Amino acid sequence: MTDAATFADQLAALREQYAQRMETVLDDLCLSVAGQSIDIAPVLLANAHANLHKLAGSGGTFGFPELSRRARVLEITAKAWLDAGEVSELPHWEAWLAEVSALRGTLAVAGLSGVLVADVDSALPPKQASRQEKRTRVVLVDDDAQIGEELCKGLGQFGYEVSYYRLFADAEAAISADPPDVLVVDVMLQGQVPADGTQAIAALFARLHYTLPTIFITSRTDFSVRLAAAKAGGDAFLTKPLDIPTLAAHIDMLHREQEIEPYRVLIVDDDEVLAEYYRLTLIAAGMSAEKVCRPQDALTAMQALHPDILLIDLYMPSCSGAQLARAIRYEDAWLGMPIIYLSAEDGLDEQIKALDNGGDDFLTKPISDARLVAAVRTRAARARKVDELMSKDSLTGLLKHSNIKERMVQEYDRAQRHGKAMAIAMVDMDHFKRVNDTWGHPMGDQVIKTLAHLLRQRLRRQDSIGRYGGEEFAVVLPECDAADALRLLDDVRCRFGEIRFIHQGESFTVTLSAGVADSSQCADVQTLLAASDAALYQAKNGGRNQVRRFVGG
Amino acid sequence: MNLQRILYVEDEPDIQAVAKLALEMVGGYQVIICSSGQQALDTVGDFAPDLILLDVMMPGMDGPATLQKLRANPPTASIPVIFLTAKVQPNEVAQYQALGALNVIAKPFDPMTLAAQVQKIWDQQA
Repeated sequence: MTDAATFADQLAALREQYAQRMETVLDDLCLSVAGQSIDIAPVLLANAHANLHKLAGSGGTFGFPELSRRARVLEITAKAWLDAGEVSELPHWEAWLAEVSALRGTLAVAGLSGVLVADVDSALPPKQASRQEKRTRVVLVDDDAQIGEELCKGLGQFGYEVSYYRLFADAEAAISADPPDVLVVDVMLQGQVPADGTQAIAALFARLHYTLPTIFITSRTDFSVRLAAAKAGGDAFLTKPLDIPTLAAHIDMLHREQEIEPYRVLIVDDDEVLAEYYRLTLIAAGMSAEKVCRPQDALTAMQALHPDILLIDLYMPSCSGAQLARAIRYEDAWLGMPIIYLSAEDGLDEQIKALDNGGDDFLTKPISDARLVAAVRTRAARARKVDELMSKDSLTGLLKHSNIKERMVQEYDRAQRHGKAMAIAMVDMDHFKRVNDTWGHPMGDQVIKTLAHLLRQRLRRQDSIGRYGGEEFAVVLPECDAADALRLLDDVRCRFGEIRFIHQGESFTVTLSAGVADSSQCADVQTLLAASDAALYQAKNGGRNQVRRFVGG
Repeated sequence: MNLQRILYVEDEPDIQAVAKLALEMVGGYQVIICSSGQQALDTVGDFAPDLILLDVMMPGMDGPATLQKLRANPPTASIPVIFLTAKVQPNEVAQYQALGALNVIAKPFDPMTLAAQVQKIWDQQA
């Protein structure tokens, strides 16, 4: 056996041990915080923080980058609470707890046993053009034509525009001519040169002088393939047999990252020229930046801009940056705001003192443009992620109950102001308990994720979707009346009922019922919610697998 | 001077094993692992490493404290040290360098490239 092979084997064995040990570590971690309320003892929280820090620092080494990434986010949140001396709010705490218990899932590499094949009927009507956003364009390369075509169909069902190539060389020509949004590439390209998809991608990106979001797919499960994919700059790595909703979720995530809303930055510096210089530098890097030159204007500017991140000069005539940071942190709403100090001061003691006062980081002037941009961008990205973690349901990525209800109120009020109708739809899966009982909870989760994904795909960008209860979803449709909502949801119902879920060789389908109502029928948002609920009840009573519109009286 | 002997100070057994494997098999170095700052101080005299890799966050004596002790003792004062830490922010590297570290390696590290990373830092200071 060669040294390289021995090394790979030993690495694989260590990785296996690590995964096993982490199961216990994660279980203990969950136990230590489960059932705790927001007044958790600081020592428990500190212990959890230390464990998360270790996980963040080790997961990636053993081939679990997702474990590292998520543990890092949770670690940062825990640190913020420890520093603040209290957990910010109950929903945040609950979200954090849920994420902690979800960490174990990152250890399951091969994924769930359930595999879904989307059954395609080419006779289905195309998406209505008026409702259609620009479709995500995917280039798929797989040397196995059968798998390629299956994936192509499956992804097509989810609304992507997929171009399939058996030969990488053909794909390469198409990619260079018109770069797609996301690449999905098989690692093994039998009989092609190079025969390794990761090498082909690395060479392609080197030639193009830019990279594209890339998902590697493979039937091999060994660690070295993972590493090869990581080295080629792959953004995701999925093992066959592929589960289409998971693949679709990865494509969506990568694509969303590409078209992210510009980061908002507020600069507070008494040196107006310098502040303006920073502002222009950040704007040139594609961010949206504002400046204020007097600390007393900072809070007002923050209310208006809702920045992702604050840059504060440490030394200003009327107050120090550290004092300003402290004053800002008095507001609960700004507790999580990342604050970076800018200063010519490079004494370590001074910097540490400033950080104690509620800042997150320190940049020393003069700073290169590139470093300023990089420092701001990474922190803003992290802040956005934490925010997302707090407001989104961890299984589906949809809004949580309280957030979707909030959205209902906002949209109802807006509809009243503009004199236009808005609609609410309540969606509930039929006999969902049977799915869980027959096929197991992991499969049930899979079904829930699939419906979440389908809703996201079929609805418009301005629509909000929330996970209302276990298998119940709520949809808020601005500028839409009950008749349109009915058509839209009925389309989702048809498509969902056609998706065939496969579990250990057996297949099944699931249906849904929905009720819709619009604001023109209802005097307030509570009545509207009750109306759509009543319509859902009628759909259930009418035999399920149908969408009903609320009929008053 | 060639880099041959490395003392790696790390409290986590999993990381110890993978780092030893990576540094010995990929890098071909001679490696001794210590589980705490104190153990490192006890071992460093006999082993006489060319380089010390120090985890920043350890229970008891942490990385920076261990470095201070090493620096305070003339026989070990000049042994180069690289920190390993899970939080690397640009200013942090500068802080650790100010304490006397050669550089900082971010965790999680890649076992395939750890040896190359160490060698590169070593070559830069030489």
